[in-house]
Amino acid sequence: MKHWKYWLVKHWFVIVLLSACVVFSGVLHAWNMTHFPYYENDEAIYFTQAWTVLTQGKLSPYTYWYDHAPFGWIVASGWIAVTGGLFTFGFSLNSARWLMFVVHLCSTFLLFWVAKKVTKSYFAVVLTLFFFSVSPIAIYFQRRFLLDNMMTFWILLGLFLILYARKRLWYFFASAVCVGLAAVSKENGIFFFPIFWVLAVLYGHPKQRIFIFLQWCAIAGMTISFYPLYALLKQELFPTGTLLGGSKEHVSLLQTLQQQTSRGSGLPFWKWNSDFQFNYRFWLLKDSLFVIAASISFVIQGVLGIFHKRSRVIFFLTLPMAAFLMSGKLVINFYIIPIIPFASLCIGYALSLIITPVYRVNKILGVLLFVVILGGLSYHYLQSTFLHSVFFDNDTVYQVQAINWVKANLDPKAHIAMDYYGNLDLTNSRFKGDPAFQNADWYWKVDFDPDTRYKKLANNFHNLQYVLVTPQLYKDVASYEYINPLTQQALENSVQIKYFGPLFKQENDMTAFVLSHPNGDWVSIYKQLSTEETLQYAWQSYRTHQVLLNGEVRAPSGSKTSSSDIGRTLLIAVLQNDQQTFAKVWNWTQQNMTLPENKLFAAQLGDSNTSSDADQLIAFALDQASKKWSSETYRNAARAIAQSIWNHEVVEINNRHYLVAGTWTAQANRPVYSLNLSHFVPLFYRSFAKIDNSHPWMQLRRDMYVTLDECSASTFETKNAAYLPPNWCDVTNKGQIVLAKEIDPHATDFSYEAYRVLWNISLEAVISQSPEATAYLKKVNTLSQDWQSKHMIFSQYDHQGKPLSSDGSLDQYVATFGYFITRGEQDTARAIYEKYVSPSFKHNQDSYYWSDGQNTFEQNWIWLNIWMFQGKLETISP
Amino acid sequence: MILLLTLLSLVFILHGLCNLYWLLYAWQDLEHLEKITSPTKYLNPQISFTALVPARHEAYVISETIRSINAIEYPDHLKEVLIICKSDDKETVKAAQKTIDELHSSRIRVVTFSGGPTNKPHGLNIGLLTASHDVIVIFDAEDQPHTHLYKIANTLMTEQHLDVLQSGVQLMNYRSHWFSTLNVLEYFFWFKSTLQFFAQRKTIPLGGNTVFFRRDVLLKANGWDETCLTEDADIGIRLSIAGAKIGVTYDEKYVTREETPSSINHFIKQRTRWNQGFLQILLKGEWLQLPTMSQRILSAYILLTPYMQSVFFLFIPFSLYLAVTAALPVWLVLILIVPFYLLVLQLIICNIGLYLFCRAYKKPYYIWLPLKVCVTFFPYQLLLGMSSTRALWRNVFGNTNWEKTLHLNAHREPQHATVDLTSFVEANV
Repeated sequence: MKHWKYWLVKHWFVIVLLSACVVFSGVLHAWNMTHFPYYENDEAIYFTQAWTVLTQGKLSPYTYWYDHAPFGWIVASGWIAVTGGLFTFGFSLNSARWLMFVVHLCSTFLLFWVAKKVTKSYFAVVLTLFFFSVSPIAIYFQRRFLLDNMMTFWILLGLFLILYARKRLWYFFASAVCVGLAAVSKENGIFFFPIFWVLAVLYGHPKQRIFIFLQWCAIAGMTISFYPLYALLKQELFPTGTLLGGSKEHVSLLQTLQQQTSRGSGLPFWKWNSDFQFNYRFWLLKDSLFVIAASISFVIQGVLGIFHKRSRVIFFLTLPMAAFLMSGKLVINFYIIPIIPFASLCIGYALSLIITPVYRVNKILGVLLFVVILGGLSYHYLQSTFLHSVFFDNDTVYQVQAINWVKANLDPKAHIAMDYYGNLDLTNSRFKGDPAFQNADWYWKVDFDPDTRYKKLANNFHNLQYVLVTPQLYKDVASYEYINPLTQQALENSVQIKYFGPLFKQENDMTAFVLSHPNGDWVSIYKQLSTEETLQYAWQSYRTHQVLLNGEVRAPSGSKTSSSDIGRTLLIAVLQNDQQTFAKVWNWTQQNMTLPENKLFAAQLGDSNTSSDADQLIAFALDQASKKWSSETYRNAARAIAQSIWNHEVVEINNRHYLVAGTWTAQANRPVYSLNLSHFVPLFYRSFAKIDNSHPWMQLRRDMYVTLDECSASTFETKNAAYLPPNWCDVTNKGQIVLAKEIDPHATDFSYEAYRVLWNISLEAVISQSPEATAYLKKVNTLSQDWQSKHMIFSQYDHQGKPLSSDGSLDQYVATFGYFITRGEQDTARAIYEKYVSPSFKHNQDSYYWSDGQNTFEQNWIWLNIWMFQGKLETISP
Repeated sequence: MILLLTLLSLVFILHGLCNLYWLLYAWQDLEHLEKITSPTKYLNPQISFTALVPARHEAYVISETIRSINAIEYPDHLKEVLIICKSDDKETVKAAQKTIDELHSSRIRVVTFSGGPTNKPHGLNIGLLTASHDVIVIFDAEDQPHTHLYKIANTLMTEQHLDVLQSGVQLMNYRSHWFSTLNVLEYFFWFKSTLQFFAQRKTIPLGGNTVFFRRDVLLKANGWDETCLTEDADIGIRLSIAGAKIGVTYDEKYVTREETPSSINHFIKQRTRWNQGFLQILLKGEWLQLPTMSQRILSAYILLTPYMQSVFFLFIPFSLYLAVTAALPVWLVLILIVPFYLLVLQLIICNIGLYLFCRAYKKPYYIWLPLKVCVTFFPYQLLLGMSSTRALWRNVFGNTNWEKTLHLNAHREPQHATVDLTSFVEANV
């Protein structure tokens, strides 16, 4: 007891100062620490892994791919166990933040003694601790559960042990263990290895140095060696395909290390666009005083270090991480963490070099100068808006709300791709009755973890029902380079159903929104659209962006509004029960596209020719509209158009009727008439037959089936025919089917025109169960065979069925839906939808479209085919 | 199985760490090094010394030893030398007497005895009863004590009020046999480091020579146990129980120089005796009377160490084999690896020790020596293991006879041998 009292009396000043520093630093760290900064993805990764260590005895819930050494989260697993579980402090990551608080207190304690020993100046100690504790950039990163913070603690402990070894060998050996633990907490710790080794040898007594020299190195090396040893034991040290790695696919520590070390721009640090400069600007933005003062004082210590031991020690302690940051390798903003204590030491000691001489001359003046400097620094930081955020902003409230909302409103079985911050809270029950979302996965694993992507989600983004979007998720997913990310595909097929965050002005463009609001304090919850919802959103977007206010259907850039697009737009409006849009478009069409001489419609705005497919589409759409909305006007209009089609676009040769391509090829006494088989839509004729009983529409239907069969079966000028409908064919005035040379050199090919035949025929097959339609499509085997053998349907075939292109086209793929469904090959239709069509669906805030969204035909054509694919066809009746 | 392996690993990790701690205890803290170093300023001679030299079949080395002890610088009236021989060992008696005659010293005497048992502790007890001075010091027949040894003992025992002082003993012929390097290193670490730790913990198995006892303390303890094969360790434990104050000193300048056993056969016999002696002490159970639990645990652990070490070395290849071949959990494999790491650290320490030994004794340090240490390290441990097994075997079957170690003066240049080496070896091997 007496010893204690004596010790306390003797060291009262140090005790008071140390206590004050630790309490001050602790208060600044803890104040608002669970609210600022926002919960970051990396924090959750490591804390989840800590939880997995504790609960499953594994280093990661997913395949551990040696992205980082595990000791940091192994320690955290101990923390979770000791503190009674994940949710002792509320949100799971609050527990991690409290662990960081403890680590920070320990680091502060250690830095105090390190600074005291190295500088031998209390002025330097206080100033060092001031920057370490007050710098907002320090607080910002130190609060987060980052492996760098764990590593920094071990480094400081190792340094403390060396400095206070007082020639005790075990202290040096313990420091070696600490440096080893630092390196297996975060690989960057390895950079301290040489400096600490030299320091340990120098601080040892000459009689101990040989032990320190060899044993320190061996102990640190052995501690680190557990990491590669673990990989070796798991047969994951060497890369697949190497002599020692074998041929079986597996993760590899060496491969990951190689990848990690090759990351970064590789630009030298003085280049404006280097990683270092980019982050240096970020650090300047957060705390310019600290960053500039640290940079200058680091150089000062380097220069003074030539002459003075203390500066030399400080300089060399700072050098490893400074060199690492400036090495041209990847720099992430939180890489500054390990350098913060040593940079603070640089500044603290540099300032003490000004104060100490004054103090030696006059103690009061010296203390006054110290107080003035400290006051000035405090004043500066009190003005810092970022420091204000550190203590008063609540960045995590919306993140927590988002998780709570998901828990309360979504199906616990739903597959969710998410920013990892809330994964622990989602996948675990926080209290009795709280649902656990076992299928909530980190987006990175959704895309890169083979088990998650291929086994759990079957490599199909449709299996992801929701995406919890944060700025980081959005940026990361957009920056993937190597693969087709499921998360991004799911996101592009999704709509925002809930937003949690500050009330920003929502921007249409998500990328712009993320760029303008990069702080991770908001969360958007996106729900992936069903096929039906996709059609709804696509139509809403179409009518907004493709249909002008006056009712004109916008033409793609460089072309004019076409009657075909109008026809399909009208048909979709009916199918979507959008009377307003229908009326608007029909009115505009009547006024601007109607040809006075035949009451049909110009193929394009300003044209005098018609296109028979457009005329039929419009007539059919009007007939359907009349039924849906009980409109006699539309019915009369449909009848009039149908009659006009018969009169101006149907020719009769030898008692057979032919629907020609348009009025331009329907004049009497022509030697040949041009037929575009994609204009033949047999279902329409069933409809027209009901509204126009003055013409034999069903006869036309039968005749056209015969013509379609003849054109498909004709060899034309080739050796044989694959039974594919040609783009064009001609019929002579004698009724003979011939090659349509004058129209197109590729007339006999199955390509840009002919593929629409598939939708046209299958429409009748699936709605009216027409045996002719079904029989025809079953005879067209080429496409089905190509899919079975090559999983491809090419965009162009010659008449013999030989592919003339190496890839497929989206328009053509969608056209095959009806074809495959009619043939009973629904699985193929679904496979095509999921592989080619659905991934092409995109959205930007309120725009939903396929492909680039620019081509009006593409949008309405895909829409109609997906409508057929989704199978709810009862909205049409012939 | 997993639980057993885990427990075994943890036990051997603890054992490995203890070993490392003992090996490095002297260097752990500079205070330790200072404490163990002999004084450079000596007090005036106050204590009188009786040197006991039990000798049996030591005709080849005894002459040199007597001369060495006689050469110790200390007032003649304060020193006495008793060469203790069994009366049937005529060659040794003759060689000793001849040397005494040549030295014309009345303070050196040959004490003979005829009864049993024929072993060192019996001889020592005869000497103890014959001795007349304050402090008894034991030398072996091949010892070469330093001339300042009594001054050092006088100073330390007086200053520190010691009842017992263990001075350093060092094997010197580190290149004589393949095993001698590691044997030398064992002594180096044992006397320089490990004994100091034991002394500090007040539980010390003393060495067999260059150890100083206050005569009254020995008499109070009834001298040495004549049935024990390691009477030195036994007396150390018993004096620890009695609360005797025991100190250790090791200074390269003043150590008593000895030689390694002359062959593997002798090495194994010597080790067997030591290990069996430790086993005897353990089974006697007197160590249970040590005052504190930590002392009792330590003494039990010390006495079991030869066996622990043997199993430790057998466990390492076994654990490595398991780590590579058995489908064990990775965490267990990592634990299984730790004893191997500790062994590697021991190996490094041995190499450092060898370098320090050569430097301290001004012996040549050859570049191949570390390699020799590495290559012989495991075979040497096998020898120790064999000795432990043999000791256990002998003890189980009640075979407690004394297997004497042959001494050939390999640690010094013989100048005064009174018998021919070849005939001596033929007679004793």
